[in-house]
Amino acid sequence: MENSFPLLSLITFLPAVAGLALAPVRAERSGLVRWGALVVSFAVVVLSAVAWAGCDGTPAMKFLEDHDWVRKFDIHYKVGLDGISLAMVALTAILMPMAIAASWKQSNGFLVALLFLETGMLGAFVALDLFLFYVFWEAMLLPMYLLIGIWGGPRRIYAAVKFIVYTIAGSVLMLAAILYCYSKAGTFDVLELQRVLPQLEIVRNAGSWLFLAFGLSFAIKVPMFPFHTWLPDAHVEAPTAGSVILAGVLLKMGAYGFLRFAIPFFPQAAREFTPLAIALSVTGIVYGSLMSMAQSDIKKLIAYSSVAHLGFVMLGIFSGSLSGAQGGVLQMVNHGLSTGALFLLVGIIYEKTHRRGVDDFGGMAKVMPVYATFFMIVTLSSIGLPGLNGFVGEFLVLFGSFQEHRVATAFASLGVVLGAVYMLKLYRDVFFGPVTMPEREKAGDVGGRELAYLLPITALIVLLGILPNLVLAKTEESVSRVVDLLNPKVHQAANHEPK
Amino acid sequence: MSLSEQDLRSILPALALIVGALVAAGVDVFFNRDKRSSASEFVSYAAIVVSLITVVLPLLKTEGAITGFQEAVTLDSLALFLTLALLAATGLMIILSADYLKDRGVPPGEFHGLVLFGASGMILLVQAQELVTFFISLEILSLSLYVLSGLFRKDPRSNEAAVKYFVAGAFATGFLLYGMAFLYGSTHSLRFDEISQVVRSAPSPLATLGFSMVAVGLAFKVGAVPFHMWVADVYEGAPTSVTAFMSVSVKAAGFGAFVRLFLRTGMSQSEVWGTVLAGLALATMIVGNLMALSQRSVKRMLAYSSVAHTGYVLAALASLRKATPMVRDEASAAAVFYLFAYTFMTLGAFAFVIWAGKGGKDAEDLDDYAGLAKRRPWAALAMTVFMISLSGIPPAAGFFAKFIVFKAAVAAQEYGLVIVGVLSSAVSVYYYLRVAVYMYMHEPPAPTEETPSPNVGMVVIVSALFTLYLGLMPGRFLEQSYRAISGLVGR
Repeated sequence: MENSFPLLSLITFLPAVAGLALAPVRAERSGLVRWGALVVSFAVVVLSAVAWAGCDGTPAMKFLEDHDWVRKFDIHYKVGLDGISLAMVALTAILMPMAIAASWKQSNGFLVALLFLETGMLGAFVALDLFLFYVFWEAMLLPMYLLIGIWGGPRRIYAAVKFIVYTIAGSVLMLAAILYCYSKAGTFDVLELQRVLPQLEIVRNAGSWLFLAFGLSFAIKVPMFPFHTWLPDAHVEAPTAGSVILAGVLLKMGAYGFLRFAIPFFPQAAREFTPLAIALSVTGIVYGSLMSMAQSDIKKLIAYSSVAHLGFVMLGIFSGSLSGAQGGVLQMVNHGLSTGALFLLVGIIYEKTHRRGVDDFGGMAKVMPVYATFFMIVTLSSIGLPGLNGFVGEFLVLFGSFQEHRVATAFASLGVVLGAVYMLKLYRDVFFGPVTMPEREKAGDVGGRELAYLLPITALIVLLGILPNLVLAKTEESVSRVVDLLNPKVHQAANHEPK
Repeated sequence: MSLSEQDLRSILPALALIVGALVAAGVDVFFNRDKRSSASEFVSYAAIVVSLITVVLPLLKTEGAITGFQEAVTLDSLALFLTLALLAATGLMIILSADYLKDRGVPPGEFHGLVLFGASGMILLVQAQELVTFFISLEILSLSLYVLSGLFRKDPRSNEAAVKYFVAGAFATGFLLYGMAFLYGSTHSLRFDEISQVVRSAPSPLATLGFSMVAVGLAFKVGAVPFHMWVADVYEGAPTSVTAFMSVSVKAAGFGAFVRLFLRTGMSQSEVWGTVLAGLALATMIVGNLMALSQRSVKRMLAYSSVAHTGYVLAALASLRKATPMVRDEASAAAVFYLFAYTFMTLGAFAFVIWAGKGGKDAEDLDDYAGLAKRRPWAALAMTVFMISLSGIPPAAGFFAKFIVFKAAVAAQEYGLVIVGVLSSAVSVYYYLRVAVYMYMHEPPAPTEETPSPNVGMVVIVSALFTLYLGLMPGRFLEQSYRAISGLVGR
């Protein structure tokens, strides 16, 4: 299997190559760039489907590619796919055409930046060499920075600078930790490090610091509760496609980092920090929900709801139970779809009216009935209505964490209730009641282009609600290996065995 | 004393430049006014090409070092590798200055002669293994640069720069000479290897004092905190092409000499020395980056950025104090690689300051960059490459250079240096990307006449491409950096 057909490299670099090719196209020929970007993103979807079919759910890495990069330091270009990264690659691939379709009226540079961003994200998900991962992890910040800073709202520069300084401040400490691990283990190979690091005495002693260095960088990205302040700014100022990708994929990068690096590298430290992680997750859930209730800007409301949803993801991952962690991973996908869809929907009315305050709208259900229907389905998915995708994820998370962390679960359940409150309140204010501004009536309902991306994403929301096993079956074995590292019972049993 | 063939071969790269400098200086006399500049430019390029050939051939052949003049100079792999960077910087600088000279009426022969003399001093400085040669080559380069920074005789800022540079430089020279006197007095030798033997067998406080003063002199030249006061004013006042030249090449040559002196004399192993260097490195990284934060002039920002980068190179050298042989190789090679990468990204950034200028004025203020990406998207992209490279964001050369410096420091267990290093480079992201903010995110002013020079554009593009190449495929030049220091240590 190794080095046979470079499927993952093709998936990863196709968008960047297309971006390079489309960059010199003149501004007048924007049709070429739009269709080019769309076709390429569809090609990535098809290739990811091939990868999806090739992953059978065993925890071993598939589609491995391994080449020397910098021989002197044993840095490799090594990529591979397991259940967790497969789910993330698929999510990225699916959201991308929708983001491109939603940016149909943007300039060429915007679409080129989106393509480069896709390469950065896919690369970070498939990288199995720490150096390679770090390169992708940092490199993807730049296109996002430009997307927010050039094409964003009125306070875009502030938001873009805050975004990049926050994330880089977190990741440089991770760089120091990566170098420390290399100096002790002598390799950048992620699989090798996962095997070697937990057994090194010296690394175990410094484990708390190393876990914190990795964890801080990922916690900023998630974002976990006290490190979330960049998110509302970035979301509010970002253009629609930027918000979709930011919420849909970039935030998952943090949770993915915990699953792939922080927990497997330093399991002992991860167990020690579990209470803190759970406390922060639950605080994030409650705080995010309360903040959402107080927002008058729809985008800001969704941004804070992301803080709450990602709290569920982190609660699931750190719950130490397979069902909780599986729920967390499923919730990563769900949140990508639901929140992505919400941002797409808000983008539609923003494009039509250039407003996005809750009070700016009223009675929209009369004016835009089809739009209102889509919004309803997505709202219900976000709340966690049974039959839609959000329910399965949230249920698994709460179910899994209840066994070990009852109080935390009780507070987290409060978040579910609050989630229903703010989302339904939003829906009531925007869609029911009298039409506040008569000129809204002329806005018209969703058109063909909007339908083209709303239909598939809504279909996926329903599909995953009915058949969550599509994702869960692929991720189960990979997730369970991480969960075992966190579960104190499994560990005590293993420790006592030899005696 | 007779000259042998080996003597000549050992200084061939510098000799080619010196001959070129003499011919170029004569051009003003022998040619009429309108042919002078092209004639002396041609002479300079010819000299650089010849010199480049004498460097590249031995680099490819991987033969041993050539020493000459009773081992006063050596043409080893360190000298060859850094000379490569120095020659590239010299060549690119001359391309940069071409239009500049015509507009300002600077005598071309004088200018090219001075540049080539300065470059020859730099090359000899990296080659020197003996204190007098070391001193003389340092003075050749310094004197050329004093004059060059005052090149615009009618511009008060240029004059101020020249005077400041001269006074600060003279001060540093005093330290240097005094230190050398102490070293000679305590060891009875001027040669690095003999000094090393004496110091190792019987360390004396006098020798340590001598080393300290030599180090202070060099710290002045490379602009390490607290000897950095002159940097911002001189860099701002000097003609931009000269600033570009001195910011990269003095650093490469000065640090090259420092590495040789440091490793050859065994001072790198000294605990006292390591501590002093670590202190200098910490102060330089912190102060350089913090001062750069508040600059509105891009030239001043780049000046403080060059101070900050001095700090990263010093951090690599400070890691030598407790190092095992393997780590020692790694840290010294990291310093050399850093200098090499720094040369191209900084030269490119200064070249862009000229390129983005309009109406005969360089783009010094941040406001000059507003909306540049709308008018010249590719140029803005090139500048963005330099900025992300300088701030250490992958995939540009600056990232890999910082990466290996920190990697060596971690291996040497210098965790304090690493933490301060990574945090200060996170701070630097703010001021480097502010240039990108202005270029991409601010509205352009009313359109004005712009005639970007194609020559300068070529320098910018070449530097940007090389910066990216060095970041993506660092393997070959990393091997060269290792080879460069292999002859210096532990033999």
